Amino acid sequence: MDGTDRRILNLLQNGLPVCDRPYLALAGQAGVTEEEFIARVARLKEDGIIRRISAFFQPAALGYRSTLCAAKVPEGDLDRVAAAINAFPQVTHNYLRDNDQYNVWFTVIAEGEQGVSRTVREIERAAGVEVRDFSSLAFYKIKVNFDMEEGGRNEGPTG
Amino acid sequence: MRDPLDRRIVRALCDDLPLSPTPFREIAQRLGVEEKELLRRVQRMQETGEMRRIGVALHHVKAGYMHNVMVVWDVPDDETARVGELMASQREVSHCYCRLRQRDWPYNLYTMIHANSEEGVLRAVREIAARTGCSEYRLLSTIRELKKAGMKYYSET
Repeated sequence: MDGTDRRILNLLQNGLPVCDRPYLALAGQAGVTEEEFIARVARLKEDGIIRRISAFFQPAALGYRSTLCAAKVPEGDLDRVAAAINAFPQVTHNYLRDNDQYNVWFTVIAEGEQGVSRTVREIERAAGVEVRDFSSLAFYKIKVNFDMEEGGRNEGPTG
Repeated sequence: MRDPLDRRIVRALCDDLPLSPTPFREIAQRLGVEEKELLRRVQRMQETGEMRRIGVALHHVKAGYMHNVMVVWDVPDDETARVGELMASQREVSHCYCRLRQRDWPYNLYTMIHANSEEGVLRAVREIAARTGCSEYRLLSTIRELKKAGMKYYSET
């Protein structure tokens, strides 16, 4: 990854313009042609640095609710339970974390409060473990931009 | 969002944008609508805040942010707004949520903290603890990513 790639990653994180030729619009700011911009993005995707380029929506504005859930899963059951949880499309993130009380933490997004609570119960049945729902009361930050330039990599996400 | 075409557009934008000079033209063709109409509706979704942006999901580790930790804090209920704002202003914090306490889990503020080294993460946690005066917290470091996917809204359309 060279300086131009980092510049491109920062530009993409701030967002693509919604217009006929969005990559052309950003290529100028990265100092490359549209063609080279697209080629570099393709390679960053092949290398897996970019997972995907897509829209980021505000769940509540679309009528969706999200929550954070956790379960205590014995080591021996981990793969089976993780597979059962991951099978739900409403589960977008699922992590094994270092905690003896709750070690499997995952997010659930579904249409409306009832959709979320129904999904959580279905997950409990499918996975065969008790699932705790740590529903959110407020949020103070959701902004996952990582400054990729000027030593930004060890700065952490920009606000 | 009840308009069926908007719902179809949202569902289409959850997938990877085509890597062509005119990605919206391709999506419009696939949905059987004029590109102008698609662009107008997507721009409106951005103005209303339904769509935050069309951006990129990075693989944090490969992008150089090797370490992330979830830190949960026990903050007095009448302090969560003040402390939450302070935590949100910390550079290494990417997410900060206030969540329901549970009987056996007294924590009510949840933060995701990222840095490119273990020390960087721990330094950020110490800084936050000092700035907010919070001493009741636990670190839940990430051992393994079991799933990470983008949400496919309105997938039944």
